Amino acid sequence: MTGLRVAALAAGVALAAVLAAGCGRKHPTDEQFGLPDTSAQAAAAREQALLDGVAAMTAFQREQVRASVEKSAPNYGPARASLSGAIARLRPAPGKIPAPQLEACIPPLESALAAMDQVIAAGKAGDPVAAGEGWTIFNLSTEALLLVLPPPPAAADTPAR
Amino acid sequence: MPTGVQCDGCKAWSSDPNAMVHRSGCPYGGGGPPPGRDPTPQRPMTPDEEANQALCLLFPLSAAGGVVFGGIWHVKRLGGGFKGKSAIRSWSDYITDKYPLKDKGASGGFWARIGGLPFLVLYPVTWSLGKAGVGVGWCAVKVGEGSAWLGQKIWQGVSWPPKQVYYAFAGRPDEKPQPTKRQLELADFNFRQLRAEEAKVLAEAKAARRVAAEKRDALLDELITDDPDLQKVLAAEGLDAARARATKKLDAYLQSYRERAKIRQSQQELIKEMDKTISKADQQLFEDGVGIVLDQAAGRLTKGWQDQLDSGKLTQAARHDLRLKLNLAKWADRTKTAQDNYYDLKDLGESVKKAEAGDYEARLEAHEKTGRMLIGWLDKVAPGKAGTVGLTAMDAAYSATAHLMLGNVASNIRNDMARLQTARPREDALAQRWSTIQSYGKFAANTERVAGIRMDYFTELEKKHGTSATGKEGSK
Repeated sequence: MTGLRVAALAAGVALAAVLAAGCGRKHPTDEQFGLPDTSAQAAAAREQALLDGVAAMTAFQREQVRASVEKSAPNYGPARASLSGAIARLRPAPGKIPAPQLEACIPPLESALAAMDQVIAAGKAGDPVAAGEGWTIFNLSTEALLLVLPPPPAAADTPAR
Repeated sequence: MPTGVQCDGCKAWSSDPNAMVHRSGCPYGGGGPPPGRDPTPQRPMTPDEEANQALCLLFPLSAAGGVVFGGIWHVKRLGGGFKGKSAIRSWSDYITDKYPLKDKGASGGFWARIGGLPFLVLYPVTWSLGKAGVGVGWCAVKVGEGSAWLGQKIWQGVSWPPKQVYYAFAGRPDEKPQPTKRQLELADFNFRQLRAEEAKVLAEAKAARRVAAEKRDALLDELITDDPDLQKVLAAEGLDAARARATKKLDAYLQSYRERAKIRQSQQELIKEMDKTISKADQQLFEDGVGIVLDQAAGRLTKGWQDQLDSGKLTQAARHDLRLKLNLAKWADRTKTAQDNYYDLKDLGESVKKAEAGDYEARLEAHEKTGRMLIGWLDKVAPGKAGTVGLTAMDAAYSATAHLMLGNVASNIRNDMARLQTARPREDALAQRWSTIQSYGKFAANTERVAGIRMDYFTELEKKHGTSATGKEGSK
């Protein structure tokens, strides 16, 4: 009788162990599965990356105007590197699911980067028409970006002067 | 025994000698199996061999059990001490006490002693290590590690039904982890949103492409209207032929302009000379451009623009322009910089008027002011401003983009002024417009292509994850 009880107990323990293992079947974590980070921190980082990208585009145009006004050679390198870095931060890692937030802003930023490259290359080759085409595409990228950005909140009345 | 033939060189088996796949390094078969194909499987084991292997597993199993239980007994004994007895005596007394031969019979005592045998191996080792100052804890850890290793090897070697049951619940070790239903639903939700957003972008891109085509046709028609030769072609051969001829003409203008521009680029003297040839038409163009910016900045036309947009009677190009202007005006109101821009531009307008009246210095001043103002606009929103003036990162990004748009408008004015500084103003102006319009077309086509690819990608993934989320996968 005792032997039977011991055997039943052992079988119960074994069954419980198997069931426990079954409940613990492995699932990927959200990160392993590739889901985007939805924390406020990650959202803020994406917004900051977008802001850095726009700031780089602004710096690029500022450099053109500065060089034009001061009649000196433009140095587009830092602005280009900054935009490239911002796009890399905004783009999802390979194999990861992109976050819907600001994903649509990536193509305009990428086309702006391509336009920057064209302007820089045309400047080196001394081809102002190609540079002009690059600037046109850069401006169109800005327009495209303005259209995909979420619209600003309701406008406040402008005080009269 | 399996049927077929066996290679003498590599011992690979095959039922068809002509289809034999040799193992790597085989003198008869060259360099192993073709890529993507597994090597020939090993000859299957006979029942005797399988039984031998199962028996071989019994030894490490019993040894592991003995080591584990012997170790536990050993530690327990060490904790309580041997109470003046020798270790062997203690073990012997323990075994004799618990499993007396007289009560349990020879069989019970014998197996109990066998179960305790590993202790005899363990004890001298741990005793020696203890003497050497290594300690019981280290021994316990090593015994644990060794047991785990042995257990793992045994687990890998067996194929009992309980193992299959375990795998049915917990999944095989080499199996890719299955996502949960929640994860699939989240992915599906994400891709649905992305697809919906991309659908809007694609619609925009298609509209932009139509805008580019409209602008292109408008320029061609303008050229046809102004050109008597093209008028003749239009009358004789129709619109398409006239547009084709106009396209060739504009290509020629652009080619000529491009070559001359390259030369000009390297000759600064020519630029100085061009500065002196600005005509009154340049000033008019400049003023018109400034007027547009001025209206945008003040937002005076916002209501009118919205009404026009709502009327639904506009061309694609006009709708596109109005939407941009409205976005810009909204931003100007939002950031309350409209007044500043208005007065800056009004000041600039006064310089332009003086220049129109023939004041060469005023014209130079207007140039300089435009540049400085542009730099000022572009400097207004820097990343550092976010958070310090009550702007969020998104506000700042929107604001900076809108500044950039203002910059584009003013830059275009500057470019328009430079465009006419040439010996062939009409042709060169047309060439530059043609170049710009071609860039519009190129940009719109590329945007549409990219949006189409992204749309397909998101749709496909949405479908995949949507099916999975409602299908068999997932358990939570």
